[in-house]
Amino acid sequence: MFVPDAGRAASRELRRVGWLLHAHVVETKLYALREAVKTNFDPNQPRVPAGHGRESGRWTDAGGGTGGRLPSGSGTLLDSGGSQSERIRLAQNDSPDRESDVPRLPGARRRKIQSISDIPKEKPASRRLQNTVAKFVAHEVASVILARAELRGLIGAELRAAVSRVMIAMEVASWVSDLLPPLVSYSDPPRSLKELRDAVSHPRSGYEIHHIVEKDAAAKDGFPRSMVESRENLVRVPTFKHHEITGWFMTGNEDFGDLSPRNYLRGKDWQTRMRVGLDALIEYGVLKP
Amino acid sequence: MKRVTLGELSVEQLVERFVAIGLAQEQADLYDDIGEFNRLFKKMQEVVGELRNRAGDQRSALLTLYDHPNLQVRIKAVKNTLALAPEEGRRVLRAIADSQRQPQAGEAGMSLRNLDAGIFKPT
Repeated sequence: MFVPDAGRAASRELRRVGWLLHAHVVETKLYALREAVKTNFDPNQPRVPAGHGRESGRWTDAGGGTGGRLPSGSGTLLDSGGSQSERIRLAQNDSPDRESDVPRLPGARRRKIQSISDIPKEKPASRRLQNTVAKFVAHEVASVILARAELRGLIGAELRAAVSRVMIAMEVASWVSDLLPPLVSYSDPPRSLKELRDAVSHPRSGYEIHHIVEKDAAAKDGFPRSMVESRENLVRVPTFKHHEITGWFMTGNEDFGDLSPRNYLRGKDWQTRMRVGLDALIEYGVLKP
Repeated sequence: MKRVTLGELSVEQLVERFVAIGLAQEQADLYDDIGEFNRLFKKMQEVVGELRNRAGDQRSALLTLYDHPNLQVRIKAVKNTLALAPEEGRRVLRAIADSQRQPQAGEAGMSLRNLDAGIFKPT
């Protein structure tokens, strides 16, 4: 077959660029691995077995718990009369639809995201699935950053670079990088109340404006707009933290006799609502204690 | 699909169901599906109620989940058995809060505050 010299040269150049690209990817992964080894990474450390939801595949200690463990064995509170394998079998069942009408598991109609390998290789059309994946990855990245002292407390460009490195090491599908701002902001260290309030005047991708005292609930209870929208009541928070705090306010909770915090706060005064709102910001890692 | 009466399930099956609901709650949370989460919350409370009403308060079976690898299952087991094991329950809640792994760490921290303030009164 006749191939002009120019064509052969272009073909060689394309192969060379491709090779360089792959070499860069390999080099980046080796760098991430070296960093992991330097921080006592142990590939033989046990992992949580499959079937435990989001914890599946994560490194764990030998017992699989995180402290606060009750004494187990015969005659103790944990003596359920069952073997370890029986308990694992119980814990691994994540298909309650199997035997009843009860939990219409999201998995039955949605893709379950419980490990990095569950993330679709191609960017899904569904915006909701994109966000779910981004939120899942944000959790995973944050757990790595929290575990490594040298990464904790990073901000700005350094945090962004660290998040990108962790994502590469985890082999997260490349399309997820399109959603980087909320992924990075999720690992922001807590800020002072003044910083969070001042930031309201500086909107930025990856952040949302949050009402410390819930906006709609306060309006329904007759609090004036001047209070609800006041500077005192507004903070700029990482997008996914905003979703988590709002979720806490809106869902049933044993603390309040199974009412949601939103319903519990109905009829309460402004100070009570403000205190709960500030406590939530602290506990969700947004506000410095 | 076959409808199940909770009263016909063994304690072991109820614990199994509790775990399954907890794992499903985690997915509902990831999808920001508040409606689904609240539906699952009610279903979980039905399971807890059924265990509580069994002779000898069989919620004690949920204590086996205090070291469950999944944080959502663990926190829900603790919050629904604090009356049975208050000290251990608080210790596990503190460990979850200190882990800073959200959203369970946030919920655990708020529960500790609510316990201290006397708002959360485990029964």
